[in-house]
Amino acid sequence: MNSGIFALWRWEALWASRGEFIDAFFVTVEVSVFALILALFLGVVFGLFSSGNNKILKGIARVYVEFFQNTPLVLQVLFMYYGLLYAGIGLSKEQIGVIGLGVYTGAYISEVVRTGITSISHGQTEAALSQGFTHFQAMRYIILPQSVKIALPPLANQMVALIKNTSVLAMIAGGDLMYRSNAWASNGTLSYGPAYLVCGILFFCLCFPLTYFAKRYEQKLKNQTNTSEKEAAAE
Amino acid sequence: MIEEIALIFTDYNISYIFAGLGMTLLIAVVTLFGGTFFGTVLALFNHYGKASGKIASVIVEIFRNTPLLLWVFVAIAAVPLRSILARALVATVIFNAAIISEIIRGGLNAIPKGQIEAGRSQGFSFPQIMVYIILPQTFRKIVPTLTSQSITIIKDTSYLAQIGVAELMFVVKKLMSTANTFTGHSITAEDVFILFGTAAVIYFVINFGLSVAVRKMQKKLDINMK
Repeated sequence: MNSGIFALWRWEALWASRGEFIDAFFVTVEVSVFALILALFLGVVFGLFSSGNNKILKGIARVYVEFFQNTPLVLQVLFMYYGLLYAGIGLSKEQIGVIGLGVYTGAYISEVVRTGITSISHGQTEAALSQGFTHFQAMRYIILPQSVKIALPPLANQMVALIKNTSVLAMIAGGDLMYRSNAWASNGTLSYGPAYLVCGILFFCLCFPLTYFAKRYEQKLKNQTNTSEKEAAAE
Repeated sequence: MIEEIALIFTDYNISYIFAGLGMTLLIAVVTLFGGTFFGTVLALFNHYGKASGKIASVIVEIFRNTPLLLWVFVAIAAVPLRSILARALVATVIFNAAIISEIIRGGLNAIPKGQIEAGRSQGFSFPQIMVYIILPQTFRKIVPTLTSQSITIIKDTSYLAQIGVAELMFVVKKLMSTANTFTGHSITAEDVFILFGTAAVIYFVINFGLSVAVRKMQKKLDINMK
């Protein structure tokens, strides 16, 4: 039999177990989606905490962000997995993935939200307040619409990071795309070539639209500020 | 709790943990410097090359949109080097070269184009202009971003636990799974907490220190720009 890493029979073997790959792909997508929802929720809550005036809430947000950004995701997920295992608490690996990735990415999104809010000049809030806007109205109609615009590209990049990070589930045999591709290739036929290639292409298809959007949108924002600066200079 | 800690942290285990930490730092340093070197090459092609620039940007996109762990597995299966560590390093270096090249490209964008012409008019060749004029300024600008990338690199070394490289994460996991041999009872959630908590503290101290440094450098750079 031809033993090339991309030999035709290896592809046939992969095609025969395509069901496994499709299932695994959906595990990855499902975990990504639920983790993203959790991360957005935590990110917005802690982002508002850290850009507000309450010192205690600010402190809590700081501790959350620093702890989760400065320790590896792998450690957090393994910690949770083995901790729960030996404490006798039954959570599925997908649930662990959602919680682990959601909390970890939430710390990054919190910083995105904070930067988005604080980068809008303080003068604008004051201007709005002087025009009779309430604080809530100023946030709702003036600050947040601009913050969202600034925050979109880094948010898209965080989504990409989250999707890529689902591969951490492979370390607890989580049934995700990375785990399944590796397990399938290591068992029996050693058809690493097709398995990793398919795995890579699927990840790429999930992530590339987001990175592409982030890049284009960032460029657009930059051009807008450049033109408005030029106009201001011309006046 | 304290008894348990005393049982777990035997002299042997402590030195084992430090050996793991040493391995983590070794991987991180090689990855950072290797990644920066190849990242610079990629960024220069991407920024100044025409056809080669297209190829460079395709390479960058491929690595930016796929997980590191995949490339580690690919390297283990495909790189013809003897040791697992060396194969894994090939993956981490190339992967980070792609990420770092984007950082460097951002720095290159901020250097005024006139400087190249100025260098040319003084009789500098293109490589000379890069080495003596453009790159030193670029690197000064990106040191903070590069430092925060090194936090990511340190955290990502923990993926190598999966392929049996004895870095910090692997060491702690191994101690946990054999904890019954030195505590004398079966593994408990407390053992997990103590061992993984120790690792968390070690990672945190290093990375938090780096992130404080990043903020300081950023501030200094902002002041210099004004």
